[in-house]
This record gives sequence, structure tokens and C-alpha cells, in this order.
Amino acid sequence: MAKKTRTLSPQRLMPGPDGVRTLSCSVDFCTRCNACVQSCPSYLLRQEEAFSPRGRNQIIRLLLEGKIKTADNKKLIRQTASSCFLCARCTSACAAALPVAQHVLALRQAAACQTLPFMLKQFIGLYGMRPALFHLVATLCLGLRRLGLLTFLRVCAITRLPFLHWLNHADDILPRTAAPLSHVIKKQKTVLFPQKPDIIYYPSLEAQYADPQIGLRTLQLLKPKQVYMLSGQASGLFEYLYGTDTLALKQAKNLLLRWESISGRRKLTLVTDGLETYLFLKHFPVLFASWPGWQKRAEDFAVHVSYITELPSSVWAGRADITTKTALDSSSSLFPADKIAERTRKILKTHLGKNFVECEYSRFVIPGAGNAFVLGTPSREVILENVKDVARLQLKQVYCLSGWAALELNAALRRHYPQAQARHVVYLQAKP
Amino acid sequence: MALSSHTLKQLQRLLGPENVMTDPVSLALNGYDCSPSRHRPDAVVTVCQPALLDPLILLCIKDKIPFILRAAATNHAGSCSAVKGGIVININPLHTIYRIDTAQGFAEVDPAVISADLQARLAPLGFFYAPDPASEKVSTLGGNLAQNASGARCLKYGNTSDHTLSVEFITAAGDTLVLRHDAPGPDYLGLVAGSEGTLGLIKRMRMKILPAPKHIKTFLATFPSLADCVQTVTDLVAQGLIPRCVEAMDRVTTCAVEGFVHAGYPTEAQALLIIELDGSLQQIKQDTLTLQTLCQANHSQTFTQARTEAERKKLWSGRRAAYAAMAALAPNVAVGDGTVPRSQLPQALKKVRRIIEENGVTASLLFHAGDGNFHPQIIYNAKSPQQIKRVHKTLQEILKTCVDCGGTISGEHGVGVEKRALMAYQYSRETLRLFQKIKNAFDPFQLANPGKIIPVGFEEKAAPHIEKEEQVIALAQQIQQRFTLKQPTLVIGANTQLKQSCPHMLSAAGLNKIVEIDKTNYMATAQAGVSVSALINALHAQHVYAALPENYTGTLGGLVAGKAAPEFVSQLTGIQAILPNGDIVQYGGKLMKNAAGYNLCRLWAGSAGALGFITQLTFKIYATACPPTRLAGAQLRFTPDPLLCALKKQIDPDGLFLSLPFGGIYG
Repeated sequence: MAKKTRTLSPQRLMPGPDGVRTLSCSVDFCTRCNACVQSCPSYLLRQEEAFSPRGRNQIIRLLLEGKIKTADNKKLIRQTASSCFLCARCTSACAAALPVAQHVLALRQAAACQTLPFMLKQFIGLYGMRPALFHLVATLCLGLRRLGLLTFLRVCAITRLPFLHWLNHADDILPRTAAPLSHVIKKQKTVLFPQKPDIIYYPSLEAQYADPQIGLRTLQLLKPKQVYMLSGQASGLFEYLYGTDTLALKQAKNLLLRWESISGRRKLTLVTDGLETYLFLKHFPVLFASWPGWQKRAEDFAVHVSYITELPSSVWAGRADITTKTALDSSSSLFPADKIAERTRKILKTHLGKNFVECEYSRFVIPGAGNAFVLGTPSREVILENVKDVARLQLKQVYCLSGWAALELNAALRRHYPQAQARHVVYLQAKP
Repeated sequence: MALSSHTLKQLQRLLGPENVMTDPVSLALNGYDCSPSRHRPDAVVTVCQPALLDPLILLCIKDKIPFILRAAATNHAGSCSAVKGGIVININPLHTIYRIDTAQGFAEVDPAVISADLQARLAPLGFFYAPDPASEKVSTLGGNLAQNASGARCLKYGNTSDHTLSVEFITAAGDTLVLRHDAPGPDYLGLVAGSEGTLGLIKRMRMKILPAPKHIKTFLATFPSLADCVQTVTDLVAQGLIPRCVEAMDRVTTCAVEGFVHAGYPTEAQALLIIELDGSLQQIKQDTLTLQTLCQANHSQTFTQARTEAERKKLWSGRRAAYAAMAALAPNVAVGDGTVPRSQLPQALKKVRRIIEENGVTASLLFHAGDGNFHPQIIYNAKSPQQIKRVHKTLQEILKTCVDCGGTISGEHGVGVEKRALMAYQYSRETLRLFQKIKNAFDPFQLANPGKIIPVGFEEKAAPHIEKEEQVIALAQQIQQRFTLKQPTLVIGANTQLKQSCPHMLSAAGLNKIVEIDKTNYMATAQAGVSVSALINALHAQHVYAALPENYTGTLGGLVAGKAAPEFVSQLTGIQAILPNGDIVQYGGKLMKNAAGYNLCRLWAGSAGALGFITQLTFKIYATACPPTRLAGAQLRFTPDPLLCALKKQIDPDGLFLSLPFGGIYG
């Protein structure tokens, strides 16, 4: 059987300032001005053109124009594609706001980059397709961990192998994964499927499996309202990042249908706590751009999607009892989260007064959406740079907009700078 | 020209195999910058330690491989594309700030340090680095010096060359030298600034740092016409008020920007000025009153002051988003960089707008009103050959208009390959020939960034349009005659240095005319034989001042050729001189910025008469008295360095121009 070859599709759709553009057109908008370069964590580590957003754009353009071939230097092209942290800082720095992270996703698929270890990919894939099986596998893995298998692998330095380094995170993730949000809530006997809901809460992957406390706190914030919790339903984000577009589209379609059936004609607001999830749901119109009927429904859906800090100010009113230096981490993946960050910054300023410190990590971001699992060493280097910034600014607390970023940063802080801790923004408790 | 396997092996041995790349992907990725120019090199090497630069250059010289230094590659003129192949040297890993000395006011850095990184390190210490090119967040200090970039603060603080104290430099002949403005002999540092890497490479730099101003105030003024806007700037300078920044936009640009970022600019005004003042609070208060009065006198429609830091940021957001506003509209943006004398700005901009309309292209126009430098930003799609042709034609016409208005084709972006052909429109055959000789002296094997700056076949194309005075022509003929007869020449001014006679003397004493004291552009032009004291008196009579030393008894030409007042050299903006073969060359003029070609003012400053006969000089003047200029004494007796010998060999191969550094005055 002939091996199926993948090519870069110039027609793949990308978000542009005035709607949707094809990949080919989007890449052409790169004027090579280099404004993006100093914002790119992977470039700052490597200092080579191929590892800069400009270089990545130019590789795609040259491939599309046929001026270079993947075979010319397959290794370099794969490294270029897989080294991107998808942090979207380059998009914020770009004059034309080019979605470089999404260009890179197209390149990853074309260059057949194995960005996610096979087993991990299958494991996470289960979460969307077969939640029950996912839970079973997670519990099984946890059992193996308790038996000391992970420690054994670590002692034997087997986890240092490039395709197994994600197991280093298993200690953080597995215990929570085996006790997901839905189980925790079931124990509390909370009614989460009211007949006439006012609002729909869609917990992110991290709130469902990695840190169920995020979900519980979000529910507390939404308490006065009749909340319908839409759990056990994948959004397609992970498939979009590490799988295929077809699978992502299928998941997205299912979520869209669920929202429509729950909200009916009332078009309820769907609130989510994960920054990446929120930005991905907002991206649905572009995802469905090739299907005009679905696109209209997706546009309607995207309008009703909110991030928790976008909720009315009454939800966030009050003043927090925090007297330590606190900052905001707005790392996101794929898309810039400038507006959400601005809104959250305002909330934190109100809550913390003088204790809120304007802190932008000087050069790096926390790689989001599981990138830290995938990229291993460079990702850890990037997080360590952020830890240095936290220490330099003598921060005691960092609030993150992304649950993944909070987990990653907190794990690094625990080890290298225990004076500070990182938490998701829902942990902010206000006095009325 | 593909590299031999032996050369590649040597490169790999020197730099490590992982730092030498020859695959098509790496070559394509290092063959472009911000301009449309794309040329693939033969190899790309990454240098991780400064100490490796010397052996690398020696290897290139040994194997005759062209080399091009590449850092951020943000150039708009194609200065770092490998036109003639060779190796591209990626110096991005060399970004260490070695030392910041606030007591002596300098920072010692690697060439690939990002300007904004240095600023970030200086800010907590209460200091700043003055040049601020628009790309400071991504461009490197080495690149800024290679292009002699300046930015919005140029009017008050000058360009990168003025803020570089010394440079460790490797010439393309393989010699490592430390270049300083005040060292005896020609000002090589000034010559290297703006040379676009065609003379060698910068290894380490010592940059001047200044105490940060305690208070900054920003103002927005709108005007019914561009002429009023420019007149305001002229009046400001006439009052002795030099703002920190003076940026301007015409109505078309204001509308485009306002639609993009909503910076709060009034869109009905024909022109607007963003003015920033710095200094003590009392000084700013006083200057604000003057500024407001002057704006009103020039029919300003509105005059707003940014009261908070947020308001100040908002005012600047529009100016900073001007490029982004255009970049979002079309795939490609061509950025021009013409500069004219400030007085010519309204006229030049009118012509430029007409050219843009006639060619049917969409462009925004913003300009540094203080120094006559403007940036047309033309949007187009590089996939359409017709559009490329139209944009190319428009840019050519705009730059030619600048030259016709007494300006230059580049104020700060450089020439590279993109504007190389236009050099023949701006400079005469003789001047271009001199540029080639300078290049030959520094780079005898034509290896350093070849194919840049000097146009191909300029002997046929160059414009012979220098306006010369009869007296200068007669002098040139006399020198030419001596050249034909192989008779030596000794150039003297008022003979205040030698104080003895010699048979071959040729005096500049006859050239004693003060050609012009221009109080619109605040520039003065005088012949070289004018005595400095007479010049000072003439300037004072017109209530203007120059950075000239008061107790110097010689002539203006002598002052410059002997580098008696090194600080005055940075005040020079134009020069006319006669070469030992009788050719008359001219460079610059009443321009605050000129990044086209090698800076000939710096070549002759300190040359001690060994390289030619200075006939005329143009320099900056001020409305208020300048602080007294240090008189170092004429530096005529020094041992010529290898570079000066190479220059002498190129410019005066027969050694006909006698001078003290080259073994005396009696031939």
C-alpha cells in the first residue's frame, strides 16, 4: 500500500482582521518586519531564524510557493513546527495580527510532526470519545503509580526518553484525573441539570480532570443563577492542537448541538473557566467557515460564549483579603487574550488595590494547552525563566487565566521558589 | 559560488558542525530582510562567541568567501541579503551587555544587543540611550550603527554615530582595530557608521548613555496646512527650543491611523504635530508657553497636552500604529526613507502626494518634522507584477524628488541593494568613484557585504550635476595640472600650524567666502579658507551660534582637517573637496540625516591634508549659544595606521599630497 503523503493545504482557513483568510493569503501578509521575534520564547532560546515566528511564516510561504520542499531538511522543518509553544505572543506583537500559531498547526500536520507522544494522544483522545473508558484508564494508571511503577521508571531514567518525558507530569495530573469534577460534584449531591437554566457552565479540560477545584469555585461564583453544567463533552480543542481537523470539527459540532438543545430559543450564555477553551469556542466561526449553514450557527454560539471574568461586575464585586504582592499571568495558546487580560486586570486592581503589581514576564510565557507535556526540556526552560521573573519581582501570588498555566507554573514554583504560588483566577475570593 | 568541501570542513571545525548550515531551507531563511530583496547565501553560520569572529573573517579572507553579517534583519533596503552569495554570519547569540558605567556614562555591549533591552537595563538606573529607531524593540545596536539609524529623538540628541564612543572593529582585510571619534587621523568610527557592513564588522561597542530626563510632556497640535506645521518647527528651533521629539502626519495618514486605533486625532486637520519636551519642570513650563504661542502664531487649530501617562501613551499609540494600520490592509508594505532640508518639506510632500496619486497607489505619509525625514508607506501585493512595477516606479520618483529638493535618498534606512541604482542620481561620478576607493581600502578583496551601496556601472550612469564655484574649478584645474606633471602639493589654510614655507604649498586662503547662513534650516555653509574667528563674528552678527572653538586662530578647513576640535566634527553635515587627481567631490548638504553612501565629512576630519583639499563645509548652527567647544589642538603629527595608508594608496597612489603623517612636507 502506497504511503499516504500529507501536503500543506493553501486553502486551510485562518482568522484575519476582516473575517477569514486562506493559509496562503495569511502567510503573504507577513511583511518580515521582525516585530514578532523578540516576543517568541522558542526564538529567545535558540536565536535562529528557523525558530522565529517570521522564519516559520517564511517556511510555510516557501513550501506553498514550491521554493523549498519538506525533503530539503525534514528534520529542521519538523523541529521548527514542533518547537512552537503556540503561545500567540507573536500575534499580539504583529502589526497585521497574523495567527502564526495556527499557521504552525497547519505546518505540523503537513510535516507529520509527532508533537504528542502516541500513548498520551490515545489517552487524551479517549476523554472526548469515551469518557467512561478514559476514567477507567486514569484509575488504572493511578494504581500503577501507587505500585511505584512511575518511581521505578524515573529511577531507571526511562522517563528521560523523549517520548516518555510526559510521564514526569503524571504525578501532578493522574490523582486528579482519577477523581474528576463530575465525581466530586456527584458526591456533593448538587443539582446541575435544572429544568430551566439561566446559564450554561462548560468546564474546561483542566477543571474537569486536572484540577476539579476550579470547577467547584466557578460554580460558587455562578451560584445565584440556575446553572446547567455541560460536562463530559469535549470541545475539540485538544484534537485541534494535537490530532486532526476532522476530529476537532466532529467534537465541536457535538458541543454546538448540545448548547442548542439545552438553551433552546433563549440562547443562553455559555461560561467557561479555561482561557484556551474560551478562545477556541470563540474560534468556531472560522472552524466552520467552509460550511456556511454551520458557520452561521457557530457565529451565534460564539457571541454567547463568555469567560468567567467577563461575567457582570456584580459577580466579581468586593475586595479580596490578600496583602501580598500579586500579579496576573495571561499566557494563552493559539490566540492572544489581550481583551480578557485587560478585563481581569481591572478586576484584580479593584480586589487587591496596591497589592496588585503590573507584571508582564519580561520575555517568556507559560506554554499553554499541554505544550509543556509535549515539548519537554525547552518548555521547562521557559517556565524556569518565568519563575526567575516571579522571584525578581518578589511576588507571592500569581493568578493565571489558564488552568494549565497555573498547574505548570505552580509545579515549577513549588520546586524552585516556594515563597510564591500560582493559582487559577477563580481562586480569588472576595469579601462582599 | 558554492563553497568547497574543504572550506565547509574548516568552518565546521571552527564553529561546530551544528552552527554551519548549507541546506536549502536554512539558506532560504537567511536570504531576506524586511525589503523585497531575496538572495540565498552559500552557507549560514552561527557565531556563539565574539572571539570566533576574528578567525572566521581570516578564514573568509583566505578562501576569498564573501561574508554578510546578519542580526535582526529588520532592514528596509536589502542591506543584509547575499547578493553575491558567500556566507551569512548569524550573530544573534552575541547579545551580552558587559558593563554599564553610569559614572563615566557608557555601556559596553555586543553588537546583537537589542536597543530596547539596553533601555530596559538602563531605566532602573535613571539613565537612557538616546537614539530610538521605530524598530528599537527588535533592532540591534550593531545594526543601528551599521545603518546610522536615529529615530524620533534625532533632532535633539543626534544619531547612533553620535552616541557611539568606541567600537572594536574587524576590517575586511582582517585587522582588528579600536575606533574612536577623537583618535588622531580620519574619524573611522564616523565612516563605519552607515557603511552597512561593507567595510568590515563590528565586534564590540561602547555606547554613550545619558541621565534620563525627570519630566516629559507631550503635546498634540493641529494645523490647517503642512506649511504651517513645518513653519512651527522652524520657529521652535529659531527660539532655541529643541524638542525631544517632533513627529508629524498629514491628513490622509491621520484618517487611516484613526480608523485603526482611535488615538483621538482630529481628522479634519490637514496636518498634525506630536511634540515632546523634556527637562526640569520649570524649564518645561517655560517651553510650553513658548510652544503654545508659536503654534498659535502659525494658525494652529487645536493645542492639547497629555495630562496623564495614559493620555501620553494614547497620543503616541496613533503614531506607532501607523505601520500596523497599513500592514493590516495589504500583504506588503514598501517603506521609503527620503530626506530633504526642513525648509523644503512642504514643497517635497506636495510633490510626493502628487506622485502617489498619479501612480494610483495607496500610501500613508509620516515624517520626522524636525529633520526633514519622511516615510511613505505604500501598500501592495507582491504577487502582482503590475503592482510591484507601480510601487517601484513610485518610490523611485519620490526619492528622485527628494534629491531634486536638495535632499538624499536615505535618511536612516540605508541604501542596500534596493536604492543602489539611485545613488547614481544623487552623486556624481567622481564621488561614487571615491566611495569605491574607500571600499577598496577597507576591503581589498571585496568580501564584506559585496554588491551594496555602490551602483553597478556608475561610470556611465552617474549624474554630473555638482554646482561649482569658478574659484573651486580653477583650484581643481591647478591640482589636476600638478597631478599630470606629478608635482607634489601641500595644502595649507592660514599656515598657523606649520609656520614655515615650503615650495609646494597650495593655500585655501582665497576660499574665504561665507556662502550662506540659513536660518530656516539652521545650517551654515562656508568655504574652507574662512578664518574661524571671522566666521564666529559673522554668525554672531546674525544672532546664531555654532559649536566652534573661540580661541582658534586658523581656518575652518584647517580646524576640520587637523581635528583640532573633535566635537565639531559631529556638527558637519556637508563637504566639498578636491581629490589629488583634481576631481571635485561633494557629500551631504543642509541635511540633518544622510545614510546614503560613506560619510565623507568624517573621512576628511583629521586626515591632515593627506587625502585631498577641503573647499567647502556645511555645519549646524543654533539660535542659542552653544557650550564652549573643547580645543584639543591640531592633530597633524601622528603615525599613520594601516587604514590611513590603504586610503592614501587608493586616493593618492603617487603620494602627491604631502602631509606630516606621511613623512613630512618637503616631498
